Amino acid sequence: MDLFRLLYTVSLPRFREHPLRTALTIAGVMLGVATLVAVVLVNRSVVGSVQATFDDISGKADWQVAGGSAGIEESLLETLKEIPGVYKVTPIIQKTVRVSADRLDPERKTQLDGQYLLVLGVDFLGEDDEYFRAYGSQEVDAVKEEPLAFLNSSTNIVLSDKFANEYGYRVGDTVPLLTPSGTQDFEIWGFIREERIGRAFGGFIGVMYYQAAQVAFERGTLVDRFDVAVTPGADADAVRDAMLARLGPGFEIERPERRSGRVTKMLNAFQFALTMGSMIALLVGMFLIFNTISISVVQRKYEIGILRALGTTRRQILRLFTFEGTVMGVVGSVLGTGLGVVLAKVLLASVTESVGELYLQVEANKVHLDPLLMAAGFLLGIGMSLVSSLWPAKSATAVRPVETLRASPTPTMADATRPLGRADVAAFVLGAVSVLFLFQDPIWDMPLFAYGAMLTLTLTFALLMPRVVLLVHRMFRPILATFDGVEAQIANESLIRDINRASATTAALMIAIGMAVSSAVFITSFRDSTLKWIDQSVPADIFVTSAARFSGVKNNPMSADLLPFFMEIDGVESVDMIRIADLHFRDLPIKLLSLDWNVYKEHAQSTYVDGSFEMADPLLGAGSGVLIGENLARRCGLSAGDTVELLTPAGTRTYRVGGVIIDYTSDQGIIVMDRTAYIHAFGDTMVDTYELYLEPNGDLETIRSEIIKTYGATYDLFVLSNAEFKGELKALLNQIFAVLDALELVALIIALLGVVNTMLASVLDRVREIGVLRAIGTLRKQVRKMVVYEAMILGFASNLMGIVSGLVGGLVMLYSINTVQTGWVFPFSMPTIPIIQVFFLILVVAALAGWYPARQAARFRVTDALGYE
Amino acid sequence: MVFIELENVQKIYGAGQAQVAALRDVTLSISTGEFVSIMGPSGSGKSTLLNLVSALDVPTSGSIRIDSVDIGTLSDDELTLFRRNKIGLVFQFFNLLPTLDAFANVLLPIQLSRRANQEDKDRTKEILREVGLEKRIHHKTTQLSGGEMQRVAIARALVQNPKLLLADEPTGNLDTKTGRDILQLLRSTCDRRGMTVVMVTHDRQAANWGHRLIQLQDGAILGTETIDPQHRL
Repeated sequence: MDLFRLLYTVSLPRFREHPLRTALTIAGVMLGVATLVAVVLVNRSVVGSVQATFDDISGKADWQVAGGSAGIEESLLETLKEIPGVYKVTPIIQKTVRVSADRLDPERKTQLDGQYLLVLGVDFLGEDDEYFRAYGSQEVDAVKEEPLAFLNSSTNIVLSDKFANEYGYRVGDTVPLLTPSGTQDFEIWGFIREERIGRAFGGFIGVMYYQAAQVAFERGTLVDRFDVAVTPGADADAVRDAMLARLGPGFEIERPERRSGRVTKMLNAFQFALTMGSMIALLVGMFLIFNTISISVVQRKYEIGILRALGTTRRQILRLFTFEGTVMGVVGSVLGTGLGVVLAKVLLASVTESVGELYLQVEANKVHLDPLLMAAGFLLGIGMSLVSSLWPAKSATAVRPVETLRASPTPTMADATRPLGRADVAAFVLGAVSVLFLFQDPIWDMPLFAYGAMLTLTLTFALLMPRVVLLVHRMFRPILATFDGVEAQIANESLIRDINRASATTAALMIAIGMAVSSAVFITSFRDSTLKWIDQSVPADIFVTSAARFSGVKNNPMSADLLPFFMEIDGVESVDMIRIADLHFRDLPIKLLSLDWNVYKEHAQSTYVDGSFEMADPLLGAGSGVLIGENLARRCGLSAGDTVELLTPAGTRTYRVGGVIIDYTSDQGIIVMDRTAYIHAFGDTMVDTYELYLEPNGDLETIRSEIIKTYGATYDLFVLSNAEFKGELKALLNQIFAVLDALELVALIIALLGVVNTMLASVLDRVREIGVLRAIGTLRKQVRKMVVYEAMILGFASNLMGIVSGLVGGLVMLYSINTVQTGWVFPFSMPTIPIIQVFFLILVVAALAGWYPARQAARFRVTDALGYE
Repeated sequence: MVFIELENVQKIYGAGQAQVAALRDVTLSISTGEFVSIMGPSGSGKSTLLNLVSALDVPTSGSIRIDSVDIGTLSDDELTLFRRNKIGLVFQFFNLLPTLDAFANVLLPIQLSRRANQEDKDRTKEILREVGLEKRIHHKTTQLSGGEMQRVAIARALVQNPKLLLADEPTGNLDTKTGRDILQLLRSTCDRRGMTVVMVTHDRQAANWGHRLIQLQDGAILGTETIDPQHRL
């Protein structure tokens, strides 16, 4: 109760007395908490959406039987039915398909442009399907009674109610979808209720008869999987064993939830990196709390002295200041949690887009407001505020009553001039801990120790900040002495009046700069490596894809029938057909890339990390060998000459590793094989990218025009030159890293709030000094300059350490975090331009942050200022 | 020759019922080279008078002419430059910049105008020698005694060769002996340079170092007396 009374009588008036500073601090915590809450909610929403889709589609399935990425022969349906304990079995085809918006009327085109639809091929006519899922649709019931007309065409479809309601579709309308043979109009036969299966993939779902889907999407006699229900009362595991025994090796029989878990696991690294990024914003926010309480303690020494003289105990003082920080933390966390929900809604689209480019198509259009996660973000904000206020609060307890006689704070530069202070020792210890962390193995395949090292390294650099501030101060002194005006010199001298405060502010700014530089190191190294790889390994002149600029998650695989067309174009020398299929390999969701080895080896040269072209060529040429990406090799401990077993629709096949190559197609890993061998093993003839190599006299623009004129509209083609392909890749990387950029921006804004805060405090501390300066002839504009210069020198010191810490952090990201998360080792590239940009941006923004306090300082009435205290 | 001339000067603070007249209809003139002490009890208006003569503040009514310039007509920047070039100020609490050494504190007023050249630096050293601090030139102010800090403040006030030196309780924070030394320094320096000095003090002994004493009470001049040098101790 005493504490609350003290808070009410002592602290509340202080909050009121410095409304701007209080508001800035709360804003800092609010932004930090908001960023964290937004990121965790978005991550949860994306994963939740994937899981919900899996759950809605799987219905009552106990087991799902699959045969690898290419699919499984539908004829196995009868085999499965015969297995004792198998109660119901039904085949499923599952495919995300792009809506061909170009064919739609303008209003629908705007609404559905870029929209994907999850198409399910199910066995409407089989009795078993009914057991697994209900459609709640009169039209489906009618189809079941009179199936012939529905089965008559491979383009008949049933859509969700969402389509009917949101886009005004009616039974009998058509919806254009991209298929391997171009855009086809699918006739709508009915609608299913927006619940269970009808709400999967955000309600963007269509259901077809599976054999129609086989035709429309050129799947031959393959399906994606069988859903299996076990006879009630039977031992599910025993049934699984029986199925495995009957089918033989090479088949995956898994619980539906495990399949969804495997898919969402793919997102772990990406989501973890985002969470860490948001934690930095919170960390910077905590420096603001630390800074504000420190300022408060210094400015209120007089008051603390009086309180102590009146009998307030040290413990009460400690509690009072800790509580003040915590109160600001609570207010900031409450506001931050609310803002986080709003931010999450903004962020969701961007993250979903990035996940869609990198991993899988997700329809996460609603933020899942997980109360536990929100509470966790809220409590973390409060907890960190409490911890941040502890140290300055402790320093408040050291104030002796006699200090009431000393009205103005004394400079504390002596701390930093000591040969070795406590901060230096702590920095040394933390530095040593960081090194130790860097040599630890990953936990659960996550570089948790490396992330820990990033944190401890950040704190190490923060603890060294007093040294850097002093260094910058000393470095500037002789330089500024040569300047005409004295303003910069006074600014430089003022910097060390309270070196702890200057250090806390610069540390916060340094962390934000460090984060920006680290990610610039990572992005530049990633981009340079990727572009170099494309130059060497992907040198085609023209890239042709359908529905998306790159083959991978979003594109529409095309029919191989287009090959003769490309070959006959004047100026085309050769054509490679690239297919990138999903493959489960040793429990990793990797990519299997097939290409025409003879065409490829003519034009491109992979970089071999292990093995050689001479070793790989005969193996791939004969269809018995594969190349593997360095990341997969690192993860699975594979090297050239080893053998790998791949799951194919016909069971397991063994291939010899002809070489380990550098390849940046997928962060999950890649296996490369010849197309003929791929078709032979997987029965999949589709093509994701046609890569055209031109004759010396081949005119790129003429060839491009011809391709677009002939098939552009039908296939929604993207025809890119090599330079454009690289340009698009750069744009894609920028888009993927945009979220990280946004997090950096938030951290930077919070840090700059700290600069405003510090400069305001610095100005208030020096009211009398500024009064004296004005009295002896300092113009108002000179006072303004002094404060702005001081903010800029703070910015400079932050820049100096921020760049160093950013480069170190970048190396940790490249060689400790990234190698574990992706298996790739990117050679270091210096992000010179981004560093120069950040450097000058910080100076300018620091100057702007100093502007308001500078104006305040220049406005003091000289006579009032001289009478201050 | 008249150097400072106040004519019917009024200074009123606050508004409405809270109005307080700090100075009422004060008319006063101070000659070039004169050392004037101003005394009066708290609230008599002596600090207000000093602020007006220092060009730190402007009167509510009446006129103040310093060195033939009507300071009531000057803008804020013009007043600042006027102070910088014509007035030296000495305060009770010294008001030195704690992060600068003695030399940098004294050089500061010059540097506010321009980059200091060798001549400026030599003059700064000369003034510091004049106030007896030749051995403390590069000491931080925190390493100086009260008397030494006030000497630095006097040196700073003198460095621009001002025609007017204003001192607000310059010995108020010093012991008796140091205070006397400081007053002696002030008086001798000003006599030598022919400067006009206005000093506010509550100490009669200190006031006796001037040529003339003006007594203030309730914002008005109570009386003026010429000081007999014999009374100086």
